[in-house]
Amino acid sequence: MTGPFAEDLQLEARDIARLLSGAGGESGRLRLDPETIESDLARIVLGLMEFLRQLMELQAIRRMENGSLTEAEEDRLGETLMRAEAAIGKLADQFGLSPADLSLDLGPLGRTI
Amino acid sequence: MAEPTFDLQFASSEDVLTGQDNRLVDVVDSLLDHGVVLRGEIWLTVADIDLVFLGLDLVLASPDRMAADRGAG
Amino acid sequence: MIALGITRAGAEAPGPCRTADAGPFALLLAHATDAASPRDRLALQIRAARILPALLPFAPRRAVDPGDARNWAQLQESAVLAALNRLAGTCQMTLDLRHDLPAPAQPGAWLRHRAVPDRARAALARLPALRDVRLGSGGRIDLLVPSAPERDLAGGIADCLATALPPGWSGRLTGPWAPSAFVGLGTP
Repeated sequence: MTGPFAEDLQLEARDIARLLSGAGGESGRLRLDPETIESDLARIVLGLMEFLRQLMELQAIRRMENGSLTEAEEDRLGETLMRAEAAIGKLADQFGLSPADLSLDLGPLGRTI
Repeated sequence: MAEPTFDLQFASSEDVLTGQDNRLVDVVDSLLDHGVVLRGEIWLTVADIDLVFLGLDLVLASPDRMAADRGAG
Repeated sequence: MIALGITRAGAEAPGPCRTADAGPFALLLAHATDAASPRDRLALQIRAARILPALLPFAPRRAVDPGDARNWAQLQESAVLAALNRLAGTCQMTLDLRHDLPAPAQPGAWLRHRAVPDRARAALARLPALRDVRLGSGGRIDLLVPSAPERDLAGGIADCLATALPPGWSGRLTGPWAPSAFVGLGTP
């Protein structure tokens, strides 16, 4: 059982394995078509960016919940993460991708095994 | 002051799997990627031709493990 | 045949699945025709998880070859046995939290709004009825519960969240599922 206040976010090999395994769907293949190549590539890159943004957000939240951030730091972190989310969303939109298309779900976040 | 309440709906796994409720599709979708993943791997495929293989097991395998895999296979 | 997961040696699976012993474990197997799609595999895992004493489910997205499954399990025998012991008699419920109003625009308030699912996780982790609680992405929280959960599990969860969360949040609880978010195993 993990503790209720996880400090470290760990990304393990099996998380990447799940990412690779899931991204290819049932066939294990990511098909790149000439008509959709731009959005296919954007999905991979933006999905990874969004995943890293989520990890940063969770780390910021954990710091905040620990009470180790000043109000000014909370504002600055919040502002940066908000803008990052908006920027990724805007890029995704330009490639015709929805937020769901970028969900690279790596399973439980913030594990402390 | 009234006790705070929390609106919690429940759907059984049967409801989720057989139902037509679109809001439940996400639930199933994420469950499909959870669980033991034996190998992380993906092919980048163009025109049905596999071009690039991204695999995790080879990168991480120890020499012992490689030998064991070959022996078992 | 397709491998759906790993259980204890000697365990009997409900039809149309069957088990095949592989050393100290057994593989949960199904015919390819019964387990053709990821949803089919998920449904079979749920049914089997109710009967089997313990189940480590494979991610249903891919069809797993029984030979690969056997090799994988035997290469990390002790970790697999430990996971089977840890998950014996458990199943998974998943909670999806929602907030219908737009997120606050003030950056500090926005960050505190985003902290709500993690706060819910911390509050739920203190409920004795839950064996483990894990935060996923997008407001998802996975709960590890006994296979025969206490009668008013949902009521206990709702009461806990009513006091732990700010107003405006709601949730949907689904399950029981095979404990796929808690296997803690994968590519070694």
